Amino acid sequence: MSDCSRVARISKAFGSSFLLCAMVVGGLLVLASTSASAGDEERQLLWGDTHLHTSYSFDAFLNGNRSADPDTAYRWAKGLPVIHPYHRARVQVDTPLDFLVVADHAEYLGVIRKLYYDVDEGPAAEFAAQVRGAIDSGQGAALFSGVLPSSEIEPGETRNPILETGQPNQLPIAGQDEPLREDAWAETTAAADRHNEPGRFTAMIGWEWSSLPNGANLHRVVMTSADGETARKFMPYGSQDSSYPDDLWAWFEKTTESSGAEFVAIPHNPNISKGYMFGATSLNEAPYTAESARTRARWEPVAEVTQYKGDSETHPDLSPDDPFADFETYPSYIQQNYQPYVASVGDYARSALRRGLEIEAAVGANPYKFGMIGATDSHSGMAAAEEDNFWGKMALDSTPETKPMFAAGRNVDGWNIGAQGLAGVWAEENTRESIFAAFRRREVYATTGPRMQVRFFGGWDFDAKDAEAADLASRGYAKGVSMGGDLAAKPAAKSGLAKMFGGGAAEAPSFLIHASRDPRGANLDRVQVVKGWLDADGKSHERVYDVAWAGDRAAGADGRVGAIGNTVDLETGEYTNDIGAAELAQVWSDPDFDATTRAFYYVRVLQIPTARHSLLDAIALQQEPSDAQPPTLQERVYTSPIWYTP
Amino acid sequence: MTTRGGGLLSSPLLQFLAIGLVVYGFVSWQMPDAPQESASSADDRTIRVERDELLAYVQLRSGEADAVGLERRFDDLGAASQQAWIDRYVREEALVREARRLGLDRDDDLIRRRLVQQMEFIAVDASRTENAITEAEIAAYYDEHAEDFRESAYYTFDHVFFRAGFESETRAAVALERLAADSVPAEALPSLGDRFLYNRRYAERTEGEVISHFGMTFASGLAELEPSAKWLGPFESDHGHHLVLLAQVTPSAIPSLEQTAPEIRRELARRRQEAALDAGVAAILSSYVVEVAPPSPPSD
Repeated sequence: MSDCSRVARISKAFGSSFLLCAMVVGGLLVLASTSASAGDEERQLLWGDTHLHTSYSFDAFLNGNRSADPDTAYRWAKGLPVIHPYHRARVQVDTPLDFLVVADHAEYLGVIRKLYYDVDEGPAAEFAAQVRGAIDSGQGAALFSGVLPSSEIEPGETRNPILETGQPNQLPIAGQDEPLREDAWAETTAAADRHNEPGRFTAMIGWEWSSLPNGANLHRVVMTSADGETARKFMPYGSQDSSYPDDLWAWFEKTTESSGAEFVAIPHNPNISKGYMFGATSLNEAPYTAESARTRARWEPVAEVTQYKGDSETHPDLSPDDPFADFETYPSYIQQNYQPYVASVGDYARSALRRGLEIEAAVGANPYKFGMIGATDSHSGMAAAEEDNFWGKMALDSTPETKPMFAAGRNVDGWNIGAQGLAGVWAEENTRESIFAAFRRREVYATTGPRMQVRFFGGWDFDAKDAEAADLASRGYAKGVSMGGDLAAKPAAKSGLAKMFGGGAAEAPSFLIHASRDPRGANLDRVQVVKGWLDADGKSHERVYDVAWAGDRAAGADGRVGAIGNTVDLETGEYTNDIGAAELAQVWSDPDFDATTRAFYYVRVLQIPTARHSLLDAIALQQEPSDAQPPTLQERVYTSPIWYTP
Repeated sequence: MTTRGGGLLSSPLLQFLAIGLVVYGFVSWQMPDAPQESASSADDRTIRVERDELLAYVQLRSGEADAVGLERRFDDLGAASQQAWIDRYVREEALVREARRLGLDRDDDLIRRRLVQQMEFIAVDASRTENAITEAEIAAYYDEHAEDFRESAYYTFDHVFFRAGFESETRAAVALERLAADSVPAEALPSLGDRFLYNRRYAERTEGEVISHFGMTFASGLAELEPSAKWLGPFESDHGHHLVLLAQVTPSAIPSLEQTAPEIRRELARRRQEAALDAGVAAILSSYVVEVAPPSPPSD
């Protein structure tokens, strides 16, 4: 620890003296950077799950997780063996996490668990007996389904989902469960403090705000850098307090002031929000203003775009020209009645980032200026994002025999669930403060599971040599901005000296990208840059560029590179690294750059094909793989974007 | 509202009795008689709510171990609440009878497994006695299993990488001379060497991560080094050769009794639950005579 902070101080000193130097003699910038310090390179890559449920979540408990509590969750994340709450076998991950946010639902927090185990008397006793009766007779999942909304609003409609619904379905204990919630909050925050080991493992305190009006999923994970003592000054804000995100942000403002805790909210599963997560207006139908757009961007710097309930980068209906868009789609709304799935602009990250540019051009601020992460949303207490070590969405669907029981009647089963994702975070050190700061500056990225290491910098004067340099990362920080950052218009040459040396900066921005395979995993297929931009009419467009790839494939006339191939043996599930590359590094310059218009750029890295968990189940069961899911998949990374603003 | 698992259940004898009581109540309610196979009779279509059976049902459904206290509390309930319990009992009894009439209790495997699970859960639940574990037991467990708590070694180091296949060892040796001569500090790590797949600086990373990034050979070599202000090497890895400036090593260690006590307490509680389950099952088994039928002779 002390060593870490010493290094941090030294690098800060280097950083500021370097800045001064660059201001004085801009033209010597390249020379200076190559001999500069490691700079921000010491930022280390930390892996974590910001969205993990335990037996304290009402839906987890009702779906078979009666024993995996926050302690179990932290033990799993630290790589210790634990008992699975449903099938009771010992399970363990041999790739531990660096941090974890236990994010149980704020609604009925710990309540079902307490009713089941502890409540015999008082006003709640009768409902407690019902809960025990339902769970003990195998009807827990039915009790859960009864609380889900029955929706009348079709996806993509413009009616307000909140105003159109009456009171949401509630458990009979609603409104009387505050003492039980308080106990649970005290326990879960104490568990976080107990497991938090600065420098080694970070247990970040958080919860989930679970607004679900008319089956439109508006859920946010809330995370704070505060310790337990501070967190116990408030109760986690849930949808019982309000279903409107604006009210959640107002509560952040107020509670930051009263408690000193800082918050970020991370929207997840926009894919099943019926178009409302990233709407054209705010949820109460007010058009965005510069102020309301800034408020949203302030509290929601990062979105969770890949998780068990599907991938939300983009959808084939929204990105028909993207051959890799059809990945882990999840066509099922969280509600009692079945409605066919429709992909809307407000449902996916790429279309939302584009919409953000359009709103910014119109009102002067971008509400959808978010970075991207993956998380699991596991309800088993096990943050399991590996295809070959995946333990179900709920505890109940953790065995092949019980997979069909998951969400029965809602168009999906346990094999539709994707074994994904995690957050990669570039942070100074493994502490609550450092990780929280990385989320604030969006220096984070999403993986669907494999721990691919990806660096992404944008600037005006990267050259090809930077991609080969031993101090690639130092050069990235010195000459540009990292993922999540802003690229302003190209700086004018500041002095005659700079002009004499060629002025450095090119006309288009260049991007320094370095991707390495999971140290224990499969090779890489390709690195892509996804660009979104506005045209002269304020309308947005998108394009995917192949910028680096493995092997000697040649790009076609359209710039696209063909498929990498597939080494997976469908009889064994094994792949080989005979295809693909261990690392890909490139400096890429935008060939279609228009300096007068807004744009964003993010990197997508594709792994070579590997076996999906459903194939591994089929092999274990000695059955033919189902047609419902592809047997293999190309795992991937999405970095946070870099925005260009003229 | 009160919390179960307090003083009442803290004595092992009472626990045993409580388990027995619950098990007895469960068995006698769940399997009252031989399956009723006769055709529908007037008796079959009558549900008599006997007080004892109702109380046993309430006890089971409320998870209450104290039968006497339960009876008193049941009598104190209002008429509406009592009627609600009766309605639930009647509803369940009717459905159970119908299910039995269809023979579901005899050959449905799911129900068999469900019954077994429920029995196990009752036995375990009645022994939630974490508080009863003593400091001495925890200390004894720690002494015996200390090695299970061992934490990995942590390393903090910088390295300069030379890619395999490009005279990596020679280039590393030459660079080492230069580094030694100039006594270059880690903070001013120069752009020597080649681009490495992962990082140039590792701060408090575990042995496991070092192995995954560099391979076993390199990690073993690192484990033998002492922290030093000098660049050392070259060391071979899966990817090439490296010069290393090792700033800090936290050796692998076993945390103290105080640090591990909460975890041990949970582990002991879990074992106690398992033991309770085994004892409960053994008590049931002891009341049965087991006869294993010999394999039937081949038919031809």
